[in-house]
Amino acid sequence: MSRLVIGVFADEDHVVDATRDCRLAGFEIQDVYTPYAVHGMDEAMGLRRSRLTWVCFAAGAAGCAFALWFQYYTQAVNWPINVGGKDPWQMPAYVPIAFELTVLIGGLTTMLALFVRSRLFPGKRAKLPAPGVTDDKFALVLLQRDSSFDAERARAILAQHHVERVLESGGLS
Amino acid sequence: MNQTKLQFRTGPAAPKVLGVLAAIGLATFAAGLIQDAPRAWSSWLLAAFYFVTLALSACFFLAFNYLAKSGWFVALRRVPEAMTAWLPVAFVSMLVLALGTGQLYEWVQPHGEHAHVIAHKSPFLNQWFFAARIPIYFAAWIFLSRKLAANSRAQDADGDLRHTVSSWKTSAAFMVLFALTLSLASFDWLMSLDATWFSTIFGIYQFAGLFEAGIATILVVVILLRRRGYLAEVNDSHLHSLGQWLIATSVFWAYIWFSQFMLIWYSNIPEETSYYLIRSQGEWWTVSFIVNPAVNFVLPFILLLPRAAKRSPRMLLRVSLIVLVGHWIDLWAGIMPRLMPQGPTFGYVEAGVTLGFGAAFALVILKKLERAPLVPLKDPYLEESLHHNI
Repeated sequence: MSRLVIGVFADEDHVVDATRDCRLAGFEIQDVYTPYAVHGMDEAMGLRRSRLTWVCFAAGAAGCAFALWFQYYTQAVNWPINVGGKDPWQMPAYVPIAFELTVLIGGLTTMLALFVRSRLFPGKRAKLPAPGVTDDKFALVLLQRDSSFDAERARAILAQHHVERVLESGGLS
Repeated sequence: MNQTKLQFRTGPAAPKVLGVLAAIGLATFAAGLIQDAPRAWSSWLLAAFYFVTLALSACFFLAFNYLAKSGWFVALRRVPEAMTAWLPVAFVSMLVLALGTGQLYEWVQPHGEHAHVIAHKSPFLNQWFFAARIPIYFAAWIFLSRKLAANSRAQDADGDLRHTVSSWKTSAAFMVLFALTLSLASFDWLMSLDATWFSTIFGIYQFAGLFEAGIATILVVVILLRRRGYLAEVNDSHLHSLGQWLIATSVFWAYIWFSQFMLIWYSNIPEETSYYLIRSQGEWWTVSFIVNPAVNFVLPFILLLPRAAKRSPRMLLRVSLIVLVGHWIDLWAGIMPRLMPQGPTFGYVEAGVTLGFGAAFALVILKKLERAPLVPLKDPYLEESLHHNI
């Protein structure tokens, strides 16, 4: 069974440095909890670039295609409408709707994809590693999978970066 | 900070080459006047307006960053400050234009079936009032942009916070006056080329092109300075932020460009559609509806979508150059079709005059950059800017 080693820090620079050193020392970082977005944390944790932008791009393109098809089908094929003597198929008139649906479907799909991927939903209870991480504390959570985890070394690295306290836990509740 | 690289120096050859090119530009204009005066004046208008938009855009960039109290732009602020030094030269170029109104604008001597409509506009559109408005616009632009640059230089000496506060106030005044004067100036100089045509969005349309091309110019100067070892303080995140501005302004330009077209196309009123009618004939259609949106919107938007592109100096430089050519084509398709309705022609006059203006513009920027440290050393936001990280 995996256990967690949690280092609680009072300073954002310390937690960034501790995160980088722990990763470079080969420890598996489960996550870092901070009250606000910390610059340089992505690099320190070695995170890959988010793939959410591709979801946004694909959904936006689909929204645009849907809007164009829908207007074409309803106004030029299924029930041709004569507006001001113009042909039923008029690209300029369809651009605003196509633009709006690109933004709307792109935006909503991105938001939903983020919620699904991070298992976030209304009313979800927060699982926090230590009190204060939504206020003024920073928590670095290391994952201890098996006996190869060198707890002494982990504590040494955390201490080197002015950790306030170190907690051990069986999992976040 | 590397002190030796804080002071910019041009090579000995650059000012001479640029001076010769500027003289060649003047010579082509003179030759053009003899051969085909209306076309030469149109080329002068095109080049003069093009470069006044770049200088104004730099001042606008300074103003909105001061007003937003943003910190990131401080490390590269000397570049837009240097660009505003073009405004006094632009003032002279527009005064020269006032000499050519007779060759450019049909409202000088209204004739034909619409003469009575145009004559009705003479209280505003007459040569004396037209010439008198030029100093009014430039007085506001030059005074306020000089104030911003002077505050910045004074702070280099004493580090006093009141210079920053003064720049905030100057920027607020500039914003209000800029909205008013740019709209009127673009009505005067460009929209009145077709004296019976009007578009209330025209000022914003010119503003959109100005904004996009100004960001592209700042990017070009910053990247070229970095290549020569200057501005090491400008990191990839600064480039990323400028790249975001470039893609955002390209979308904004497309939005305004399309808005002007769509409303006129939809309502289909003859006195409004005349503008698009001559731009829908023959090759002008290709220029106005394919080339123009491609270089000002489609290419910059697609090329700059990936994050890596917005952090790559090579890609940013390429896209900026596309946009700078695009801004020229946008103005070209706005100015020239009345003169050559049979189709677009690109000759030595357009090329020479624009080249001459470009050389003079580059010369003024280089000289201005030499006169101040490349980084505002005592700005209160400098530390924040040096750590810009997105």
